[in-house]
Amino acid sequence: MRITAQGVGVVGGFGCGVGDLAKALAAAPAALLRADPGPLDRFVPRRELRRLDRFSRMAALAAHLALEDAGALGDDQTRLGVVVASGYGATGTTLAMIDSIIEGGDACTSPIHFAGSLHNAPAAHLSILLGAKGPSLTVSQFQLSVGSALMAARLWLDQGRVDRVLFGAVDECSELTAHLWARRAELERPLGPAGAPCGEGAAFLLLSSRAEAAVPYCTLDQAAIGRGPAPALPAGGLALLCGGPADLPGRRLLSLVGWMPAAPAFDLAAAALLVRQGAGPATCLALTDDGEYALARLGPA
Amino acid sequence: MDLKEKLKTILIAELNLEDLRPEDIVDADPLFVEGLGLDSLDAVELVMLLQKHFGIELKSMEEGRPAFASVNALAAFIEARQQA
Amino acid sequence: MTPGAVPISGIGCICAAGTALEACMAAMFRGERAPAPPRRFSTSHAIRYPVFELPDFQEPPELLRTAALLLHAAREALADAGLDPERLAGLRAGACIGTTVGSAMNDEAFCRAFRAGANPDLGPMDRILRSNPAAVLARTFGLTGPCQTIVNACSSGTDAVGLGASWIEAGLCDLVLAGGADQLGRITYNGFISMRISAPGPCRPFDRDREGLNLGEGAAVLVLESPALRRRRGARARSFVLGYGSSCDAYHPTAPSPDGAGLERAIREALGAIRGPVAFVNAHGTATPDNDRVEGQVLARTLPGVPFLSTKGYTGHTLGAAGAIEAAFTVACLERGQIPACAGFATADPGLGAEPVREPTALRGTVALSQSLAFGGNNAVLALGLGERP
Repeated sequence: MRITAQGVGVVGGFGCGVGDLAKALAAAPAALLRADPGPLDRFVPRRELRRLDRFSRMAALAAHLALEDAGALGDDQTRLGVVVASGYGATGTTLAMIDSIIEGGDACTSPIHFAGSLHNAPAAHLSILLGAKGPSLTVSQFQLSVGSALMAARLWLDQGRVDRVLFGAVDECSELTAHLWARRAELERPLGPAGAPCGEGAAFLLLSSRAEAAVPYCTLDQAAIGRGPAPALPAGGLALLCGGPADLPGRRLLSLVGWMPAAPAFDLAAAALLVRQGAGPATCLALTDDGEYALARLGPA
Repeated sequence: MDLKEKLKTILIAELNLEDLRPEDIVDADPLFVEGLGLDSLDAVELVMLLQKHFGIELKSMEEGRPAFASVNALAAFIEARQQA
Repeated sequence: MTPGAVPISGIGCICAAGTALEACMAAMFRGERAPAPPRRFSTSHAIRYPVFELPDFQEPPELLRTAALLLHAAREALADAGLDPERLAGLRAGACIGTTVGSAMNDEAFCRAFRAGANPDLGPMDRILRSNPAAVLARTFGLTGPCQTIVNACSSGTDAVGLGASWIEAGLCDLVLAGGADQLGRITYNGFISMRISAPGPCRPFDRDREGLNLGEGAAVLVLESPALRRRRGARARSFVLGYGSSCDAYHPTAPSPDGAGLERAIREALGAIRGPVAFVNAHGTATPDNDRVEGQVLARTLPGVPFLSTKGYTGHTLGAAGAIEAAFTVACLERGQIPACAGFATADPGLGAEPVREPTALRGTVALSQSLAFGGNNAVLALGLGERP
């Protein structure tokens, strides 16, 4: 089954959209900014976004950009599958919900914040905004989230459950995350690599098993996860890495994106761009602190 | 700020109606389905907001139904409860 | 999707109805249930909304309660399957687990201290970071295959079993510990009360006078294995995963679509090419006005005359664990050829067009459905078939 990446959408500290990503890949930005989900207004009227917190807005923006990039925004999305990965979930809204209890007592718990704190909120909002009635899956397992979700997305396509999947990942640097980040850094037990900045953002790809009219970015040849020694990287090819020993040969996008559990999704987005630009087949490898690995292989279309 | 002004400000802020200003909300217009177009999740949030901002405790959603017809109805409901 | 039948060779289950599957079944067939106000935490609500708690279950300090419940169920499942936990590392084995609370970054004490300007002890957050359910199973049993934690709200457990079965079909691995787990806690309890869907008394699924759900906690694990591995081990299949259907309503973040079209699609997908009678349906049946109305109407028009029940009258709504616990119950009921009464149901709701079973009911058929509807509009349905006699 030939599975391709038809569109890429990203938002992060480097900016938003494949144009900004390509620029950042060519010359890493001087400083990492906060991700700005403002451009979502281009796709969805403000009123329809009122239930989406910042976390869901970043996801929705990257998802819409991916669809636009694929020329698929106007398509009937009824049978679209949706797969979303997040390491930490909606921590901003989770804190807001707890704040409502702290400030007003148990009887003043905010139901809107409670509903928004659910991990599958972004997937739910995407499904409503796009009219996507196919299967929906949200996955959360820290640094393995992206690889695990990608494995599921690819399997859905391979088994013919759907023929298009909107796949992506999102994490936010909320007050809670930032605090955790800073405290762990102080204790010299950093959440990410030592000295890495705390990042946030969302990266989405439109994956397809159809014979599409548009030329795809690349093929998705493999998406595997496991625990133990990772499969060896093919010698000499393009490799994008998250985690693992610093001396592993490959490119790291840490300074471009910052660190977050969802970071491997930016590797996938960047790999898709680079493969289309003629870099040859690419391997994206994520190694977690817990001895797990996620491996994706992308090929020239 | 009078009660209806306060209510409109609360509705806009807490229900995230960020495309609206208080002067855009008509006192007599329906809040739910039509008019402001609020839904079931807004309704339960509104019940909480009555508790949080006015100390009014509703035993059930049914009890609050007359209040939810419009800003006018909400203000009248609150005033009646606070005088009781 | 019409998968090949995926054998289920072992099951473990822990919830308020019992600390092992047989104990749960026995309690349900005796009609026992004991919802009560929470004991392990307190709130300031005037009404003491009952829950289905496990007051005597104590998690070790280093793990979240959800992960500890999951391990308990996993050990029962492995023993039931005749699998030595020490031998799992040598198999291509993975884990597919659903949860909601079990992966939320929401330790209340930590956040309160943070807001008060203190630098709270990181212990609680560290505990969350090491308690991801699928990862805990992987670490504990040395699983080298794919491990996934699904957070699809209330359908997570059903999705985990269905997706775990698809891994076996695809040959990704030979064995999957598939299931779900969730713990009770103040934040979740407050959350559901704020949504005004918690019942002030014991829940009444599908009843005309139902007022909402009771929360519960627990876990269930089903051992799924490839036909090849099962043959090598000579293991018995208690049941088979025959089908899995899943869809989205695309309607509202928390309310189910009134037309039930999404659930209907998922049911048809799960049934796939299965012909022959459906013996019964283990419904989602949370006892909220909205859920039971939609579900009842869909069952009435899609599977008229097929007996159904909600077991949440015995367990409460165990969120991410629900779909797995209910799949476990569905297998056990197929084996017994009987379903228990729908606890909490007394008066039919004319608006539903269907009513659940009022007393223990003998089954006709060897295929059953277990279904879940979730916040976010997910509908997930499993078709399970009777396995082999011992």
